[in-house]
Amino acid sequence: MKNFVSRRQALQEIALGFGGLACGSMMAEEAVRSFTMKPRKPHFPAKAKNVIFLYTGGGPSTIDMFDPKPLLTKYNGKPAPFEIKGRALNGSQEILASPWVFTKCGQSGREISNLLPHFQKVVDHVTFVRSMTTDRIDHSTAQFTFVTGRGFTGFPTIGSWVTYALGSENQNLPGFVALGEGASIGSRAHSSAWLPPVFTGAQMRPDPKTPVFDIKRPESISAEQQQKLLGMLKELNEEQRRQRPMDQELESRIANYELAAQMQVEALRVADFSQESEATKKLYGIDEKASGPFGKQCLMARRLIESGVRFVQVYGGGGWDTHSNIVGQLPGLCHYIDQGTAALLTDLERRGMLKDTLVVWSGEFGRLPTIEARSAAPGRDHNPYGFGMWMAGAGIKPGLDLGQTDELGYAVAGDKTGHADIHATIQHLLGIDYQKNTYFREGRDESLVGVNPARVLKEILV
Amino acid sequence: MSRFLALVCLTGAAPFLSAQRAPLFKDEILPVLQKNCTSCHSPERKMGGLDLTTFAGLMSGGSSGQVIAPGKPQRSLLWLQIESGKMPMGGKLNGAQKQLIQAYIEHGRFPRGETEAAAAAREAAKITPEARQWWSFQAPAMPRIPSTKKKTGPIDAFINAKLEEKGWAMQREAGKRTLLRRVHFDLTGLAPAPAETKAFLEDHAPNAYEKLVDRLLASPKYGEHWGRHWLDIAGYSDSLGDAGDVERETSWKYRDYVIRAFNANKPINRFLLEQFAGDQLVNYKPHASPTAEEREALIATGFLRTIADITDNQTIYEVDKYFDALQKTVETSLTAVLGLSVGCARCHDHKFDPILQKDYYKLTAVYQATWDPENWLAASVKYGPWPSRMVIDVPQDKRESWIRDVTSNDAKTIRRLDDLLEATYQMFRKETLASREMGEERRKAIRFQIENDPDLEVDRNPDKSGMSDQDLEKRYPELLTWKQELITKRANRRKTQTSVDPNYIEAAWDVSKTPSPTYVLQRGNYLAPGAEVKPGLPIVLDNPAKPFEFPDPSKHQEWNHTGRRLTLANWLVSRENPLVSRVFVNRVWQFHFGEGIVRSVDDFGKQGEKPSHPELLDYLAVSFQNNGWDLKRLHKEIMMSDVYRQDSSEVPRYLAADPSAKYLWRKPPLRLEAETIRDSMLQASGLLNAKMFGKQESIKRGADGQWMEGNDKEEMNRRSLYIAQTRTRPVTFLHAFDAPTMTADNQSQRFRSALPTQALALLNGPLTLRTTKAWAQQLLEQSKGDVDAAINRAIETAYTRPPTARELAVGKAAVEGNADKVEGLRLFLQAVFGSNDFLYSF
Repeated sequence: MKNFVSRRQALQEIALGFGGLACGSMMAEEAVRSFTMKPRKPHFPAKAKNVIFLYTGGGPSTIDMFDPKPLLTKYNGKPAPFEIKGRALNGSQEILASPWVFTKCGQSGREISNLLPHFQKVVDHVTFVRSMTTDRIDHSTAQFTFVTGRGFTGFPTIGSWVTYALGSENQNLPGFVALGEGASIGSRAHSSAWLPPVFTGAQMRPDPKTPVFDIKRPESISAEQQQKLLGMLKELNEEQRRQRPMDQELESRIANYELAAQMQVEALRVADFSQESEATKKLYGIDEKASGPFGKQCLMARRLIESGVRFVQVYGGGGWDTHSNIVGQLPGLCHYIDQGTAALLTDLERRGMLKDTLVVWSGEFGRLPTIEARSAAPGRDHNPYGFGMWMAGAGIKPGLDLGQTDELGYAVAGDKTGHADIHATIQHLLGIDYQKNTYFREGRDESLVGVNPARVLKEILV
Repeated sequence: MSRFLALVCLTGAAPFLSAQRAPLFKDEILPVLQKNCTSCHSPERKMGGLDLTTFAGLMSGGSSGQVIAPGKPQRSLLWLQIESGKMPMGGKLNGAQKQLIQAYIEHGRFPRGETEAAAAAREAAKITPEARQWWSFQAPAMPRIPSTKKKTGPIDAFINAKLEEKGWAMQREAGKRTLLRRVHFDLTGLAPAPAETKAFLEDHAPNAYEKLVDRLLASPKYGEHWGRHWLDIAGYSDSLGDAGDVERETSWKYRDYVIRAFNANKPINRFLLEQFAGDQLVNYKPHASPTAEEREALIATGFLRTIADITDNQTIYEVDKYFDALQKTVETSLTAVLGLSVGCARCHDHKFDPILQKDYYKLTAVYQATWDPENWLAASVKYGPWPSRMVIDVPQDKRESWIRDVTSNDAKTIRRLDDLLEATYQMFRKETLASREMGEERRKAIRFQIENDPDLEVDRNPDKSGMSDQDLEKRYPELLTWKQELITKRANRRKTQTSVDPNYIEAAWDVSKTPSPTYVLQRGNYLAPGAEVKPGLPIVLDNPAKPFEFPDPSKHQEWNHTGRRLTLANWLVSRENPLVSRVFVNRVWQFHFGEGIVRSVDDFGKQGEKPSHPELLDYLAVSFQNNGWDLKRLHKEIMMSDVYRQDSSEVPRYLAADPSAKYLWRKPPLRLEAETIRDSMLQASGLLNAKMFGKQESIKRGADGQWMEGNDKEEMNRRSLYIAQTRTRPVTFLHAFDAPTMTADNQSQRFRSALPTQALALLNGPLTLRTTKAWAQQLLEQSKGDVDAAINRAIETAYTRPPTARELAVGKAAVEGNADKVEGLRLFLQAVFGSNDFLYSF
């Protein structure tokens, strides 16, 4: 095992966690592999302690949101001045200018679409990476790529890798939490795959009654009785485990009861917004009809981070796949995420949490500057050749722009970046050497970045 | 969104529409030609040498040569004649018709010009001799059985040979109780009942174990458990996977067919033939009333109807969905048996395996007659107009009146009213919950909007937790009025209705004997068709000297179908096919041992894992074929082996070197599958309802929003495979333990995760509470208050063994330490269900 936990440390943790476990021989000790959410020291001093990843699956059209391309107006309705190779669903070369107005915002003076009025006000916190690419053009493969580094199902996601390396500060909540829905690959976007299941993102909901299904102790069982039950579970499981002291899966199953019991208390507390001030609730717009659901998820994300959760992944809702009628659809989509996103940055900042928390926003790819005309109203097809994403908070120099696409927003025109660079950078900020955060499996050390060429985007770091 | 699009179509964006999309020949172009051109340009008259009654005729051109230059109206004679007004002679096309023809030439689907021979040679050259040498493309041959120190049957010889190479050895045979439990879970998905345990322990005959295996192979529960395995591979779901993910009404007949097939030990080659081509096997005549024999074969083709299908009859244009449904069906069904991810070749030649894009479309052509994008039967069309995907299975004499009845205006009106009413409730609920002012005017406006929505989509599973229908009716009295109207209409209709129950079979059959041509779609894009392809096999699996041929259906007047799927299916189960038997026996092995001999059970290609015991795989595959694809025989041979019967305990030295027991130095312990856990909880507590077959049981939202069994009668306690398994409303307990939702197209391997949500389900979940409650009462009644006896029986039932001293002590303390003895015992039973010895098969 090449991780931060030494064998001795692992044994100690087991001993502490589950009481005097007899390990028969040195061989048994060798084979024991302990995987817990206990906090672990990073490789080097970290600039960020935790991460909120706003994962907006579906392919948000960044050229209509924060990456304006004035030249599009000139060519609107006309063929592009150079060939646009999309998936060529109909080979359309006809340019569609962004129909929305962009406004110069903040001291950094970046132009943000009027579709994002709240975001316009917080843009100085944000640094854009405008030269993202991916080698996948379909949602599922690109979504897998963006969180696992590989375009297939069955690999651990970044939240799993981060918690595998660092554990989490709060032992009574999952270290990796997923909120909301939106990725077409579903729960596989926060799966730990073959990393131990403890590092799987736990799906939660910003609902004070049931942040997690079955979270509430039934009324028929008193708190005292439940304690008894947990005690019995522990006794039975320990008794049975004596037959198989080295089985890691059985061990994590035992640990899960303790986690579950603590989760009952903690999860209900985190999802209960009654202690939040009216001003805060209003800031996130949690009572707004259209943007409230996402606002709640963002507020919950902040509360989770505040409680010591390491990695929160918030999904940006469905509908971003605007193949058709982008004019009709994008305003609603932007409205859905705008207030919550901006509130999150504002709130983290004013609480002094932004210096420890890295906020990342991205989709799996962007959208082409041309019209895709598969249906009645024009839309845009997937664009993996050049798109934007942003980062803010801990360790990020605010207000910068890294890289660019060409004048039409079609392909990267400098400082090409990709998912592997983002994975390296996020881990770097957390104090993780991305080349050393490995897991031994089937004869080789696997890692998130793997064999992908990657670099830490140092120019945007503090 | 669809609603918005439809409005746009109606209100003026139409020119854009026709200028950009590709009209369909059959549905849009042919009607124009028929109306204006074919009186002269028919096969009979063929004026100017031109026949415009078919696509082939159009493309053949006339005495002046080609009339279509794909993509270039200005160079197409057809268009020039129309544009100049020379044609149609004596008539004129209107603007819309002209635009349609022009758009068709510009964007339509036309074959790319290349001689067939040249294309074939170019394609064949892509498959190198090395590619053909890949292990899984070689027909399996009976391997030499290795001689090992220990004398055993063939299976163990292969396993021992590898272990002996490493100086390792298998473990001794597991204890009788462990074996009993293992075999029970493995064959029936249920723990042994205490009486069964007793009988087995008392049977000291040398063949007691063999008798056990035989008995359980003959149990009807075997078909339920192994049928469920196959349903995972087929991608079976009780819901459609469309926008509202509606429940399917008749898919359960396929589920039942699978259970029956496993129980009857239907030879697997026959089983596959029926599922791929049951309709062709019995030469079913489309739209006829099926005979009993045909019924079974048609139900089997439900295998080809499992994918999430969102095609409907809305006015928006959605040919891409047709292609997607066609392609997903090709991919899911073929990966199930071939173990190759053919889907990669949808857009381009497979990057890793020698599967060409053209191969993919040759295989697609096999399915084209059933899912013909130019002759599409939408998934949503359950009632008329016929034809639909449903075979009407009612007696011949009642058939006509029945069709008339369900397709009557009356029936349509009621369905429409149903939709309108439900949509109104939902709109009113939404608005009220959002505390928006809803005066009479506003309500009228909402109703008007709903009534005039041509593409109304109604959520069939609304969340009513915020406000019930009754609450709404109290607030808005007009709801009651509308509801009453509907009730009256329905009652009136019932008086005139035929007495036959609606009885459908969701089946696959060839919609016509002359399907539209299949083209290689560049980048998978249906708007960019390349060369036309005929049905065929992937080159790498074909004989280059003598390519496999699909028959010409026009030479078989007696056929009601193209014969394509039957031909493919016959090849799949033939000796020529190197993959199907291997892939199947490997899946069986995986269900017995947790992992396959090839661990990537769906990928026998370059990206997949190599077999850990290649000779064993071939031995199993060849003997499976030699023995008439007899599955129960295969089970028995595996289960009689030492490798299956050995103990599962930890050997530190082996564990360190081979933690997942790839070399099978032990029988790997397995966490039970979701269904097995739930079913065993129900069985232990005496609640299990063993009723087999029939329509899926409904589900509902529980108090906290979780999905759970829907009715509160005995049906809620049926085995899990009879509880509605939808794609978006997974039953929370089953979902927590990794039951698949088929959001991907199928899931042939279960995860075995260990998550806190599972702990929560066992601590607080409704299933845990009600099963332990019933069980505690029952135990105390049976033992007449004898606590020791109750605990002994509980542990014996749950773990198939007597309690240890410590377990007994824990149990006694629980009961005696609680003022309420039943509750004390109940809590202990919760701990029993939550413990590893209950949740695992060792």
